Amino acid sequence: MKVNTYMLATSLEEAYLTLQETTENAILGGGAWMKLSTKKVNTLISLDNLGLNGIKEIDGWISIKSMTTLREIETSPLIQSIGKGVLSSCINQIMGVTIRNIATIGGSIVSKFGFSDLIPVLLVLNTRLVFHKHGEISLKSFLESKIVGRDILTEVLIKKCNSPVFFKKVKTTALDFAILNICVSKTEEGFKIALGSRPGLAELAVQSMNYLNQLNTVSENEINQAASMVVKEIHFSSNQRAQKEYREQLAEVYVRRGLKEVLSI
Amino acid sequence: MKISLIINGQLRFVEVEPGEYLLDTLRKINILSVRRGCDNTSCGVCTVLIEGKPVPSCSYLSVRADGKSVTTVEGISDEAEKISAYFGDEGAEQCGFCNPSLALTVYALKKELIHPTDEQVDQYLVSNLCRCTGYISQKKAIKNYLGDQS
Repeated sequence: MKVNTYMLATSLEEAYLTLQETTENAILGGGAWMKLSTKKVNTLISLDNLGLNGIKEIDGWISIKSMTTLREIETSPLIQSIGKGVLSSCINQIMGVTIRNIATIGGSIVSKFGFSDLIPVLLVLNTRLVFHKHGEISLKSFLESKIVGRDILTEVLIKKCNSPVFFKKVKTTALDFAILNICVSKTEEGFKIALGSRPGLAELAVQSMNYLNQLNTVSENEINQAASMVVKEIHFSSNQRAQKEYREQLAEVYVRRGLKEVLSI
Repeated sequence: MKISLIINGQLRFVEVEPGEYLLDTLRKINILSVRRGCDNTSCGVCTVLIEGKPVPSCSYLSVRADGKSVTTVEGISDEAEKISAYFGDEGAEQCGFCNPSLALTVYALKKELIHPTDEQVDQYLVSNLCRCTGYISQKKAIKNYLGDQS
């Protein structure tokens, strides 16, 4: 990434107005993956001085400010109250501590990286995003549309839940991006299944979820049926890490295991 | 643009480009213990401590470090010597290229985690790669250092 000028914003409104000036201006999140980008940025806007850090609990929701680092989230006791600590165990597998000390939750979400380990987990939880101008929106709606436009993410809200959440990152080495991410949950909202690193952006397996959620009881046969439905409805493709067919095989096996785990079968 | 860095306790004013990374800035002012390896956050040899936390300087913009404390291995020389002695006892070093960053990360680990398990140590050091020694003897040396209360 080439940067022309750097601006340390003194208010959210100033950062927002600068962002609107030209599409060549950009917000600086954690900056961990800046080197992957060949983009030319006119003004790089830093939110470092706006107090967008911290994690707290508000009425059954965990609020995480957008510039909170992944390491701060991973080590926060409050995060253990979401899906029996699934966010900690997911973040723990992202590169090393040094990277997690700079990468932020806001940058991880807004960049919509296909290789994100975090997005599939947030998708199966009840996650809402708060933007400076647009206000509140579900993570699913944000990922599926461009409705938010050029705005600044200020806060991530995650509903507390006691249910176990299955997360599997399939990778070849400790520091590599995932070949596939599989995440399965069963909360009061029903079953949710998300797949990431397909290698595209993570998405929910809606048909399989609907199939499971209309059943009265779920046993081995229904689990097998749902796992094979996932492969039919989600689009997988090939890249240098794995072939499409391999990802399909992995998805079916790990969705099955994930469903069994959240059902304690 | 001019920024101020508190490098190993000493205030320094440095002229940097807006998109310049801290690794380039530190090497530009002759702090050469901060090494350039993969240059994309994977190998760990460029690790420095910003406000006491280990970060990869190859991917940390210098302007973000303005006014902050930056610690390189020279800033923890007494502890680094102690860590090196444990490494020597276990035959855990060869070329020494990764040693400054490893010493900084191990130092940060000792400050951050109280009585870490072997698994926690492995996880903390996963992004510090060594291409000649291997990790068994390093892990033994680190365990001995972490157990040293002096």
